[in-house]
Amino acid sequence: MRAVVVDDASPVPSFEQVRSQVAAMIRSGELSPGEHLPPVRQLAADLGLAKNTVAKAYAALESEGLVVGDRRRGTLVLAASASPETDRVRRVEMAERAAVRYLAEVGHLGFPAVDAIDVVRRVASAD
Amino acid sequence: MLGDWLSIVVLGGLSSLIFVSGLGPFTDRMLDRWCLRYDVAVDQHGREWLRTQLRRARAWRWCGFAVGTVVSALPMYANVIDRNRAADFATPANRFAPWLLAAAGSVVGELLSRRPPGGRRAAHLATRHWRDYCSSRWVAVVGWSVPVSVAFAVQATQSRDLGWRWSWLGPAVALCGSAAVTVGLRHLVNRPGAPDGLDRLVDDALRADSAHHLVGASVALAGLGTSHAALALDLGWLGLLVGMGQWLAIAAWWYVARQETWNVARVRWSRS
Repeated sequence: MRAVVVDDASPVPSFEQVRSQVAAMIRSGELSPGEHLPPVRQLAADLGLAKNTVAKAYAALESEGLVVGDRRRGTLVLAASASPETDRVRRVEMAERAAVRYLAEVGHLGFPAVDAIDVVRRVASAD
Repeated sequence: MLGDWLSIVVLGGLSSLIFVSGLGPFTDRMLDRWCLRYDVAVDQHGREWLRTQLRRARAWRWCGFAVGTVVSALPMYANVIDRNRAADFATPANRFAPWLLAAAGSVVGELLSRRPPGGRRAAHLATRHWRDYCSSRWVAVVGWSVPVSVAFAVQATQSRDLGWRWSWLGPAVALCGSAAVTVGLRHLVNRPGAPDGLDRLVDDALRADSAHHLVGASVALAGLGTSHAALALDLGWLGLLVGMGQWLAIAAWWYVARQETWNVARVRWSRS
C-alpha cells in the first residue's frame, strides 16, 4: 500500500518525513517512473499539513532528481537510477527551465531574447 | 386570509418536521444501510467518525430545505401581518427558495469537513479526480444548462415584454447550480481524508456519497433554472410539459443522489 504517514510526535520535520518516504518508495521501485504524485493541495489536505510544507518536500525530491515538476502535468516520478536517455531528457528539461528563467530576468533589464542569446554566446566564447 | 393562515400552519409544520428530522440522530440502521449500499465494512471507531460526517452533511442539507420552505412562504406571512406590504416579499425567486437553500446546504455541509483527530495521519499516493466519484454526464448537464437557459432568456426578452427579474431568474438559478457543482467537486477531492487506520474504501465511499448529493442538488437547480427560462417563452401547450419538467428536475436530484455509478469507478481507483 503506497501511503505516506506523518507523525506529529516525531522529532523529524514534517516535510522531511514526506520527502524521505516518497524518496524511499521511488528508490525501491514501489513508485515507478512516469507515475504522477498527487497534487500538493491534495496531499497537504490528507496529511493536515500546510501546502508550503508539501511543496518544500516536492522541491527537495526534484533537486535530488527523483521527480520532475511541471505546472500542467503535475509531479512525475523519474527513475531512481536513471538510464542515460531518461537522464538526458531530465537534464534537457532542467536546462530549458533555467533558460526560461534567464530570458525572463534579462527581459526585465530591457533586452530582447536575441540580445540575451548574444550575451550568452559572448560569455561562452570568452570562456 | 383563512387560506393564508392555513398555508402558514401547513408550511410551518412541514418545515419544523424537516428541521427536526434533519437534525435527528443518524441511527445504526441508517449507517448499516449506507455501508451496504457502498459495500464497505467499518469497525466501531470508524462507525462513530462516519456517523458524524454523514449526520453533519444531512443536517445542512435538510436545514437548508427547511429554511427555504419558510422563505418561500414569506409573502403569506406578510399578507397576514400587513396586507399592503405582502407584494414587497413576493418575488419570482420565492418558489425556488427551498431548492436553492437545500442545494446551498448540501454544498456547505460538504465544505465543512474537519481534519480527523490524532497526531498520526496517512495519505495515499494516488491522484484523486472528481470523475472517480460521480458521473461526468450529469456534470455536463449542469454545465450546459447555463448557456441554454441564457439563450431562452435572451429569446424571451426579445419576443415578450417581461420584467428582467422574471426573464433572468432561470439563468441565475442554473448558474447557482453550476457554481455549486464546481466549488463542491473541487473541494471534494481535496478535503481531508478519513482517520488513519480506516479502510480507504470508506473514505472513497464517503466522497462518492458527497459527490452524488452535490451533483444531484446542482442537477435540480440546473433543471429548475432551464425550465423556468423556457417557460418565459411563448410555448403554448408545450408550456405544460415544460412546467412538468420542473418536477422532473427535482426527481433527478433524488435519482442522482441514490444511483450507484460510483461502483464502476471504484474498480480502478480504490482497488489500485
